[in-house]
Amino acid sequence: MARRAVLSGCLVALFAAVGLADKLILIDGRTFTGTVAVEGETVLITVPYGTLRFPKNQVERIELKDTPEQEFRKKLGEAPLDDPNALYGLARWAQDNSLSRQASDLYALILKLNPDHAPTRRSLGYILLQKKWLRFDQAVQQARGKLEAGSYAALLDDVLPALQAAAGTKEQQVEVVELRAYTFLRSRQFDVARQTFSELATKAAGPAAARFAAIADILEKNADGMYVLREAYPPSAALLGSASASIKPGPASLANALVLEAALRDLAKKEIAAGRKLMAEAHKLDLTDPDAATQKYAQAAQALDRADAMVPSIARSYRTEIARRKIANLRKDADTDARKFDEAMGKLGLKDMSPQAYKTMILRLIHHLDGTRDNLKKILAIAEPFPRELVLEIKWAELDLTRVESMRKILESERDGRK
Amino acid sequence: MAGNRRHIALCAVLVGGLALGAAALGLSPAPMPLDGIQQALASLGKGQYAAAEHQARAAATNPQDPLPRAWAVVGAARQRQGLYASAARAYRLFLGSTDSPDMREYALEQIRICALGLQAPAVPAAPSKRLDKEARDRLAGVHDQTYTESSEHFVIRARNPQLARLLAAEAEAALDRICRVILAGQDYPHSVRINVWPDHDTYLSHAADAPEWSGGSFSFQVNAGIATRQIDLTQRDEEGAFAVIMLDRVLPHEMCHLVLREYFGDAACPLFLNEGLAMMSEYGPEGRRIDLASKAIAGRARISLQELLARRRYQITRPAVFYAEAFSFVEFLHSRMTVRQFKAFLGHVKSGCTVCDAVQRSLYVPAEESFLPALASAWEDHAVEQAQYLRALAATGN
Repeated sequence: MARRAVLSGCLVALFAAVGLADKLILIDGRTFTGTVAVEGETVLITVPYGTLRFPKNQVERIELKDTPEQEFRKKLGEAPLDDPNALYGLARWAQDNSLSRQASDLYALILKLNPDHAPTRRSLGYILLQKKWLRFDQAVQQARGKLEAGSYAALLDDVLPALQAAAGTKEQQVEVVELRAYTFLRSRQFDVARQTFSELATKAAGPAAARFAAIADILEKNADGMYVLREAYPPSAALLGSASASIKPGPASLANALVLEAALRDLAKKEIAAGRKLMAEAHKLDLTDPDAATQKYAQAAQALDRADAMVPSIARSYRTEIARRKIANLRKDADTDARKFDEAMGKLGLKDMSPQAYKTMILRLIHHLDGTRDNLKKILAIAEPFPRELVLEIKWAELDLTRVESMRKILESERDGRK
Repeated sequence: MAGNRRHIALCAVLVGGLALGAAALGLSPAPMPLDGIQQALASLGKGQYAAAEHQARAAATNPQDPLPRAWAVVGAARQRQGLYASAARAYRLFLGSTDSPDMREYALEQIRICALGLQAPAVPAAPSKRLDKEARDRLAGVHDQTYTESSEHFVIRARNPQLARLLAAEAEAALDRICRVILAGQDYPHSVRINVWPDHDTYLSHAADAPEWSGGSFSFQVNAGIATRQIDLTQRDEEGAFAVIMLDRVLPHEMCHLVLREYFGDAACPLFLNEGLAMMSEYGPEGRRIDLASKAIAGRARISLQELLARRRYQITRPAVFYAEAFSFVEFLHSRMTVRQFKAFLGHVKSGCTVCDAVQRSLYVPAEESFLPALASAWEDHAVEQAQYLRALAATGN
């Protein structure tokens, strides 16, 4: 009884969605599909984007054709509502005719009749894994579990092909290839893993692409799957007495996830070293050649980006340092502007000035304040990604900005009052 | 179907028989090199060093396709078994097989470590332990004349020729230990004058800015572009006996401060680090400090790590607890970090990083807010464990 009630609820929704439509053909050949009405000498047609009006004499003819919705409604009326296969056929037809909402309502109806209706499940992106229908993200999660559990054969033979078939978007496809690459790596198929990571590097975007390319490079340089760790990994295990397993320094297999992490960290260390070198060079140029220093900082940031691609956030403290140095340089500029402002303000009360000179002086003061304001805004923009580390810099800049804004208002009213 | 099963069983018997026969004749197929090296790595990871060595050697010497990189596994397996000489031989073979600068550096480093492993671990003994009563009495003597003795880094001035000679040698040994071991390989290409004053009053009257309670101090001054480095010490205690504490503790302590003063230059060296390293440079038992640190951590006198790291000299209200905790924390860092990491840590502190940032940078781990609490917790556990260990040792009379 309850099921019947649910089904009738679905049907009401399906029928309610269906609207009427006709075809209006004009003398000039233009054709519109919608709901036609005639008001005196005017023919109206309501289309999805509004209502159009045409004089009767411009109309060639009106065809009262079935719209896809009307056709769907007819088909639905004729369909055996307790036959999942028949409903599935209609759902596919609806989908092919851009009636996606009706199709999805029908899919829901079918799954109420038969929760294991395979074509419907597949159409909805479900994957059958171990006799359970899973959504793509659930299946990926299960695949990752299998990877951790070492069920490589099951992954390569069953799970990943099913996932690949179901992967609808580019992101999903990349996710599946990534899982396959790691499966090859963990199962010690190093050469295939290298090829798959190379392929991934071309498919993925941003830091992930750099990371996959780096893994492919590591596997190329260590084709036998052996990597030599220069220090224990995880690096904080010895200091913090971490309970988790750690790898001793020395040779180890890249099939071990921690060893691959260690190898990526070694690459990140090299990038950080390069970044630090550039930062030191930039620091030397800070005073003498600010533009060259800015360029060096940008190059350093690129090296740090590469480091972060290998190990997320590993270079954050160096980025903070760059931000802090940039802020210090901007502060110097802001202080210079502030000094100039103070000097000009000091002169304001001391000299007798003509109205024109006074106005010029006010404009000059506003100009100094604008310089300071721009620098303070730049400081806030630079500090924004580091709210925890640069909390003082942010507070100072915000406070100074408030002062500058109120001072500017006073000067503006002074300037406008003198017009 | 039954026929198929019979065929399968027969094949299995045949294959098994062939394998047994081949093994008996010594014809068992050698594992493919890649399998061999991966097998060896798996054994190494499980701590099965003998098996790892055997499998890696087989891969390295496989006549069809030798994998010389497997010598690194042989070396590691032997090294972890304490077979340093043969491990070094394996590392040399690995060294000869690789063009990678990183791998060559690794092999050379391991050969050096193996060479150190062959030597008995050197436990630095307090210099005064080498002095008998007669020698101590001689060292307590004060002559009218001032004697000068010099060494590579020191010029010693004392009113006792034996003491001047002894200090020249011990100062070099202490400096070497401070620079090489404590400060993880710093250079100190400078000359230091060491003045040894016969008693505390004379010391106080000559040593500039020395606190009244101190028995030694250092100074570093730059006048007209010339730097002067000086350490002032006291020869005799209140009873007129030779002050062994000067030799064992005060000299290395002040020397460490001096080295740190020059290493940090204009940068600020946090007080806990300065004092902690100086205390680590001293010779002799540290049980009292370790015990006090553990009791303080467990009790009300506790200075939290966050406070310890930020505390300035004028902010110290309980000096004994501060010094004990500073020693404990610095010793903890020093013992848990590699030489390379500790050296990097000092460099980052010098460049202006907070201690927490400096540790994370030297470990190359992402900066996280949770790191400092985790570090504090690990240190406190370490401090308590160390004190418990010392108490257990004391209970067994060792």
